[in-house]
Amino acid sequence: MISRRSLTRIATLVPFAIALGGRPGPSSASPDGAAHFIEGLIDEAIAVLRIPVEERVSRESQFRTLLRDKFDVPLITRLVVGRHWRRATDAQKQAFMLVFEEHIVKIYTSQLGVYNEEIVAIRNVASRTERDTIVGTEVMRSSDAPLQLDWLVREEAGAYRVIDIAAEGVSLMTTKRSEFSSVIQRDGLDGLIEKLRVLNADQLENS
Amino acid sequence: MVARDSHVSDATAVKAREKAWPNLRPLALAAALLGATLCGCATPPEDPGARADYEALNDPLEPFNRGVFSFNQGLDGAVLKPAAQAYVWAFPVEFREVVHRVLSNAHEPVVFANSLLQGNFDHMGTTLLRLLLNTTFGVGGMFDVASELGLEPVDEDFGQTLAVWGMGEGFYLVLPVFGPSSLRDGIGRGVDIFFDPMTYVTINSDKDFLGPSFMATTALDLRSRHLEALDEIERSSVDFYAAMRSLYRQHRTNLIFNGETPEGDPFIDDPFDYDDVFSRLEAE
Repeated sequence: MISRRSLTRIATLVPFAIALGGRPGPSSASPDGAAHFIEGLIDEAIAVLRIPVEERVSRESQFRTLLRDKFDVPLITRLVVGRHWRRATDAQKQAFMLVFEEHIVKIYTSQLGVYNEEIVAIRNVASRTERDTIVGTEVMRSSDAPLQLDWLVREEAGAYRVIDIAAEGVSLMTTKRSEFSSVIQRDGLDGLIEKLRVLNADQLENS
Repeated sequence: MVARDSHVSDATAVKAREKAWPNLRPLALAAALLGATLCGCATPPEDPGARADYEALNDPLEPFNRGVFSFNQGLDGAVLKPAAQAYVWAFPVEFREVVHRVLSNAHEPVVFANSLLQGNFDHMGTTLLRLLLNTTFGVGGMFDVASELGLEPVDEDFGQTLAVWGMGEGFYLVLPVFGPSSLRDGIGRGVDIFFDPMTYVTINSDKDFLGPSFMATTALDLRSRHLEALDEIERSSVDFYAAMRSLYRQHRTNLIFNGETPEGDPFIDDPFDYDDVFSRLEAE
């Protein structure tokens, strides 16, 4: 089995390959449907990446559209805050949703630099639950070893949406949940909202 | 390219074995008491929900750890990062790659020893062949001929060995200079020193500069390879310490299971069931 040690891959969010085969069983989400969905997503993502890095506004707006369309942002937003969500006021929920979405957009448009004709291939597809599927992909890069990127896709009323990504075994949700939980414990949800606001503004300045 | 690891079934066995180990929480409390002068112990919250979070986080030494983390950041900013940046600026990538390969090759005995202790014959064989091929045909490890032949590098250390033997992480620990670690992985680092032939070379040598210069080169090599990555993590996190803690743990889990988590699920570390939480949230 190939092992990786590089933090570089974690930062660029590339997940790790899963074992062969999936769990068999009945599911309303078809593995093929999920795989097809991811293929489409990757094509659209590459189109966004082809936009020159200098055209930041255009890049971000295209990425935001992609995010809202392909990712279950409301679910991700609720889950990343966890149990604190039900105690939040409507104003807090509203503020957090805005600032969190912006956070995601900013991270990814800055992290995903120029597209260098890397090929993204689907390695395998595995059913996780009745409606969740894991689609494992691999990003082939010229300079380095392939990057493993896993997508957790949920099917709802015939539509597919991504609810988590894992890069080399490092899950976005797990990481952000852990981070946000720490901040909420120390500064409360308002503290987190403020910190995210500041971070978004900083990234705006530094780009 | 994806070879079936003979230890896929062992992954679930590891989790079972973990239960056989003693609860290390008393040890954590003892360590916290020792560190009381540094005021490093966190007080567990009373609210049951918060308490559950606290226990799951397993960072009873958080104030102490944050202190060490800050110190490490300071040291990094003042010394290590500038040195690594200078290293990158001064030497072309080909040279730095050669340095990396030589250091990796010198490290293979540690990987071999730990593969042996884990009973992982697949990794043992690969590592031994890599060492032999790269030292001879690769001219002292300068060239990675083994990878060309399909023998990809393997990452094993004593922390992973302890994990395979069933030891849980103990608790999160930030080591001075070395950074994110755990009780288990910290012990692992200590033990690996004995597996490293360089330890014996430097002890038995009368050249005093050998040990420090080897350590310095290793540090430069490691730090220079993660310049952009760490910058990116810091830039995109609201709590850099917490982000690193989470990343470290997930990365370790990945290494321990050699990338093949039980049931082939990379999201296994997600501490919640999406369906369960979602329906609970909706019921509110």
